[in-house]
Amino acid sequence: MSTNASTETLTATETELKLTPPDPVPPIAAEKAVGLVPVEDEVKSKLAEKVEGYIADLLAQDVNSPEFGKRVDQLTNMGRKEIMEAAGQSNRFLDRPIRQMDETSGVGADLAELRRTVEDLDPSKRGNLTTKQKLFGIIPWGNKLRNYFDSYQSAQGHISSILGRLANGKDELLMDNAAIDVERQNLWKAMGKLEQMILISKQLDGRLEEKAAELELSDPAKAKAIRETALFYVRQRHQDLLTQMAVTVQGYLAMDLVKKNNIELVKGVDRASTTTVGALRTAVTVAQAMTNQRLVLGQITALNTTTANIIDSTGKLLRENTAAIHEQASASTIPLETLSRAFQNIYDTMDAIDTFKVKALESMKQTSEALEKEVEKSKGYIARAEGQAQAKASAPETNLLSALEA
Amino acid sequence: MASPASQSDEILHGARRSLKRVRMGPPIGMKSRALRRAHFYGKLARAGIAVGALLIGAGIIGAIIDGIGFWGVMITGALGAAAIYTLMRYPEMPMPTVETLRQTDLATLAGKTEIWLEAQRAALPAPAIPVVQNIGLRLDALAPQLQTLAETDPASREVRKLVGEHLPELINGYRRIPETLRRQDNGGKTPEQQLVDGLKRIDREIETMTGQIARGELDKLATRERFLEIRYDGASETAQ
Repeated sequence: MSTNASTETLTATETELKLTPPDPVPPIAAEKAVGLVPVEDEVKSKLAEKVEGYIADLLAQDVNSPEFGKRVDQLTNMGRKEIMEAAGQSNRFLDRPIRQMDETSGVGADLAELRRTVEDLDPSKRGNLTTKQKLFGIIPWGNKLRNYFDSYQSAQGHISSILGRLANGKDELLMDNAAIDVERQNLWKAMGKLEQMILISKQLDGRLEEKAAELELSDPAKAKAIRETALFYVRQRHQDLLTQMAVTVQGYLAMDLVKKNNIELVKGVDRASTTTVGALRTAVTVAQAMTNQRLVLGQITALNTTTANIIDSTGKLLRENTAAIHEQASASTIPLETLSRAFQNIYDTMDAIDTFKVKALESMKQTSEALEKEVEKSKGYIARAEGQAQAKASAPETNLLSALEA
Repeated sequence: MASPASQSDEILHGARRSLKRVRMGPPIGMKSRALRRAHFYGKLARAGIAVGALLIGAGIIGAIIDGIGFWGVMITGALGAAAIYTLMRYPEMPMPTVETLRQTDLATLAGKTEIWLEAQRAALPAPAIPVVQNIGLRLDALAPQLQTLAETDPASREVRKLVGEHLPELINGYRRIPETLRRQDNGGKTPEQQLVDGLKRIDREIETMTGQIARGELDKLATRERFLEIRYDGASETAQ
C-alpha cells in the first residue's frame, strides 16, 4: 500500500498535476430521492406491523369520538421529529463558508504570496541571468550570479514561513473533511429515518384506501371520515416527507462536493510545497555547480527534515529525488535551464490550482443556489408542520408512528 | 412457572421499593444535595466567624478593663451560643417556588428544581415517586451541560420551559385537585395516571434534550478522531 502510494506520487511529479473540480449537484426530484438509503427487510416488516396496529386501532374507534380524533392527530404529527432533524442538518452545507478558496485568507492567500515570493527568485525573470547561458564557461560573471543566489538566503525565512502556513492550511482542510464525514454520517442516519417514515406513510395510504373501500357499504360514514381526514393528512405528510428527503439528499451530495474540493486543494497545496522546495534544492545544487558557492539554505534544510511529518508525500518525494535532482543539475550542461524548469514547475502547479479554483467555485455556487431554492421550498412545509404541531399540542405522542432507532 | 428463587427476588425488589417510598427523606439528585451542602457550609462559616469575633471582642474588653470576670465569661458564652443558634437556623434554605424557578439562572436551575421536587414528594401518589426519582437523576445529568449553555441559546430556552415551567405546572395542577377526586376517572384517565404519564413524558424529554445538547460535543470529538485518522493514517485522504 505504502510503496504503491510512493510510486504513485513519484510518477505524479513527472506527469502534469491535474485537479478536477467536481460537478455541481443538481436539484433532486422528490421521487428520485426515495430509496437512496436502504431499509432492512426486518425493519420493513416491523414498520408494517406498526401500520397494521395503528389501522386496527383507528378502525376500532367510533368515528365521532374524541379518540378517533386523537388517532387522526397522530397522522398530522407523523414524521415531524424526523423532518425537523433532517432539516436542521441539511442546511449545514449552506452554513459552511467556502473556506480556503478566496484570495484574501487561508490557503488561497498563502499560495498567492508564495507565488509572488518565488517569482522574485525566478532566474528567467532576471534578464542578465538568462543571457548568461550563452556566455557560460567563457566569461565568469560570478558576481552577478553570486548576488542572485544571495537573494535566496534573504528569501528563505519568508518561504519557509509560507510553507509552514500552507501546512497549517492543509490541516484545516483535512479537519474540514473530517467534520464533513461526521456530518454526512449524521445526515445518513437522518435520511434512514425519513426513509422509514416515507415507507410508513406509503403503507398507511394504501391500507387506509383499502379499508375505506371495504367500509363503503357497511359503514359509509366511517369510510367518508377515513377518506376526508386520515387519508388526507397521510397524503399531505407523505408529500412533506418526500420534499424533505429530496433536500436532505441534495445536502448530503453537496457536502461530498466540498469534501472533493478540499481533497483537490490539499493535493494542490502538497504539490506547490513540493515544487517550491524542489526548486530551492535545485538552486542549491546549481549554485554549487556554477559558482562553486556553497549556498546554505538552513531553513529549507530544516524544512526538509520536518517535511517528513508536515507534508508526508513531499518529504518522501524529496528524499527520494535528492540524488536525481543533484545529478540532473550538476551533470547538465545548462544548469540554469534546469533551475528555470524547476520554477516553471511551481508556476504550472499554481496555474492548475487557479484554474481548479475558478471551476470549483462555479460548481459550489450552482450547488448552493440549487440547494437554497429547495431548502426555501421545504421551509414552507416545515412551517406548516410546526403550525399543526402547535395547534395540536395536546395530540398524543406519535411514538406509534415514528421511525425505529437505527 | 415462577420458581421460589425468582419469587424471592420479586419480594426483595418490592420490599426495597416500599422502603424507598417510606423514607422519602433522601435527596433525589446530587445537585440538590450539593446546593444544600453549600448552604450549610455557608451558615457554618458565618457562625464560626461570629464566635471568633465574639471571643476577640471579649479578649479586647478583658485587656482594657483588666479581666472580664465570671459574669463576663458567662455573658460571652451565652452570646456565643445565641449567635451559633441564630446563624445556623437563619437564613433558611430558600425554598424555590414556581416563580423563582422561572427566574433562576441556568447553572442552578437543575439543582433548584430538584429541591422543589423533593418538597413536593409528600403530596405525590406512590406510582409517581419512582418517576420523580428518575427525573432527579436526569436533572443531575443535564446540570453540567446547562453550565456550558448561553442564556440566549434556543436549547436553554427549551430546557427552562420544560424544567422551570411545564414540570411545576403539571405537579401544581395535580395538587390543586381535591384529594377525593384524584383517583376518579376523568375522561378515560384518573388525574393520578395523568400526572404519572405527564411526568414520564417530561422524564423522557429531559433525556432527549440532554442528548441534543451533547450532540455538538459528540460531533466535535468524532470529527477530531476522524481528523487524526485522515492526518496520520492517510486513510482515504486522497481517495476519491
